[in-house]
Amino acid sequence: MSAAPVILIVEDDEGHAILVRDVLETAGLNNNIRHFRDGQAVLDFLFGDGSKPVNHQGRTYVVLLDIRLPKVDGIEVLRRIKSDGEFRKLPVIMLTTTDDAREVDRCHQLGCSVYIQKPVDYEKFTEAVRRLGLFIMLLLIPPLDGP
Amino acid sequence: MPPWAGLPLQATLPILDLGTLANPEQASPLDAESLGRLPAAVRKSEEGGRLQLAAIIESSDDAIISKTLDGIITSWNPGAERMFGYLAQEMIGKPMLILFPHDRVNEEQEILTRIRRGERMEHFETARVKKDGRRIDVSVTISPIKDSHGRIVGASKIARDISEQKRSEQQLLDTVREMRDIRAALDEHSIVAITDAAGRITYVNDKFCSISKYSREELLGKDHRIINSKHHSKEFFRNLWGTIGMGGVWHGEIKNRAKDGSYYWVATTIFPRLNPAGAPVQYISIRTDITQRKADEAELQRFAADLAEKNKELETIVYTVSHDLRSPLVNVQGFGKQLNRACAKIQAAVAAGHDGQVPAVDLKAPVEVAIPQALRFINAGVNKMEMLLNGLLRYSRLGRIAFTIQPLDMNELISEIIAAMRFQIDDAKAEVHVAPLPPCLGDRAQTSQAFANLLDNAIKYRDAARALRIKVGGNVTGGMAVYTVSDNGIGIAPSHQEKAFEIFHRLNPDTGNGEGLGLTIAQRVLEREGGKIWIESQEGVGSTFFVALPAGAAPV
Repeated sequence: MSAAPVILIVEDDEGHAILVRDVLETAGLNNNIRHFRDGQAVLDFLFGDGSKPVNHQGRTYVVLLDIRLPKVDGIEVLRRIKSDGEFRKLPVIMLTTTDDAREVDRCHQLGCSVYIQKPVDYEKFTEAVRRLGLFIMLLLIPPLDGP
Repeated sequence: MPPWAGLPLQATLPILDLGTLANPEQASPLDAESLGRLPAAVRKSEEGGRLQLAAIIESSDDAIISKTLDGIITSWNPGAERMFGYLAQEMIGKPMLILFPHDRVNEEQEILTRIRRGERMEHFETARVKKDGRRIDVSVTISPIKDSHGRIVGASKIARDISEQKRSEQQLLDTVREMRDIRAALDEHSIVAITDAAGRITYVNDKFCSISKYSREELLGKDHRIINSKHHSKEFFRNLWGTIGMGGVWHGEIKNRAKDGSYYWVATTIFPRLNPAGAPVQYISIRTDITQRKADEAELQRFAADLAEKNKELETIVYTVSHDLRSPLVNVQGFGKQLNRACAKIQAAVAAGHDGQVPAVDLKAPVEVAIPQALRFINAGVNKMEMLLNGLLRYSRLGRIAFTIQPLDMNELISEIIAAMRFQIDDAKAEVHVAPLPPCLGDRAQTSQAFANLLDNAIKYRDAARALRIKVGGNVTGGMAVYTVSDNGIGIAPSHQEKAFEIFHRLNPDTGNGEGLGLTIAQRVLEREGGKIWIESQEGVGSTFFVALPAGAAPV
């Protein structure tokens, strides 16, 4: 079995990122977690920013993706990941505040794995993210091939 | 032998001038006996002539009748039998009056009187009654019959049934009357003009004159270019002439220009009248004034556009509330809970402490890390919500502000903005260059806000690596004044450019303290002014914002 996937949290709100990380850690996940504050940053991480070659060989990632992000929004990030031959293997979990039906529909069309609305209520928020953490622990994710 | 064969032919054929045989009593009956007394050759030719005449009379469709001066019928041909329905044996010896309708019995006396005077009545139109009682219209020629001494002894009468002709005439009259009424109705309702094949006006009705404000004299002989509004393309009229020139009917809506320069719209049908070869000889155009409808349509379009804009605004607000406003709430709730937890920890530590002595180590984590972090996020969340609410209000109020569109001197407007921003500009050590700017039409305050925002952005997103240079320029193209605000700042990557105008979207949340509303509002303002805004930018090189507004004359 491969190593636990690295969780890529793409979230412009630092508070949300901290809360999600807290809940995941409390739920017992000990995965590595990386936080990206806009869509461009995570795209640069995955595809490289052109300055140096990137190599993800053997790695596994789970992406927790917000929709409304500076520079490049979550929909575009999702589209880029799912239209890439390698990265399309990655589970992408939309974790966002809006429950706008059109957004949900668009994300599923583009191939997101799961769409979760961040509950405003803290208890519900904690519960949702905790379950999400447990769910992530169950995921079997194929490791990425090299470049 | 026909029943009338023994009758004197000359009596029925006064026009043949057979005067000597005129008197039926005296004339020798053309029977075999009298024919026998004539020399053979004469007899033969006499007999031939008589038989020929007899054949003519027998086959004539006209009624050929003779009568005495007392009005007693003496001969009656088959034409008369067919026309009146009486056989010859029924009528010979009877008074002619039988044929007269009640209201015309006086005619007979008159006729006989005139005949006695030797007068001839040609194509006298009257009415007679058939045996079955039906009345027919007849044209009658009546001539006196004279004997060999020139005495008038009777009358011949050739009658033609003109009932059919009368009916046709009546129908024609009815048709003419109907056409006249239809035309009157058309003139009452429509604007009508007729032109010749070359398009020269040969007829206009009153409505045409009244809507075009030209007199009939001014219009006749001219073509329709006299009322051309120049609204339609050459192609439009080529199509029109192409259709009617080929004999087709053209329908369409045309904007025309009246003599006083005012415009009017007409729904038009042009109907070509064709010669037998199919080539147009006249064009009849029928128009209806639809100026009001056109104005209503334009008004409706404005309402629809307005409504669409309001809808878009509403959608933006709903989306923003569903996402942007919820986001800080998650933090307020979440870090509120963290505060609770920190409190619980402190309380537990305090409760566990002996004699009020609480170990510092138990308080360190909550007091130094958890509580300040929680408070920081709660405060930030509340501030963000306040900012979003203010922004939303500003954005939605923009739709209700009345714009006063007026000519703007942009040189003056931009220098006022620069004067107001002097401190910021100097603080950023920025150099601002303004080229001469063309005037435009817009709301002064709102346009000024939009440009101030562009300059503010240029300063905010400058590149720390080089001195900021801002250039403002403008020119007029296609009726629009297009202004540019260029900088050499950090620029925006092409993939991020369309996001730049999205509400509450911030390309660089770490830079400055904007609310992500400036460009959104600038875009709305410019759209409401009939203009637009777009961007050209290169990351690391700089941005140029383009603002197009309706060009206008410089204000006085």
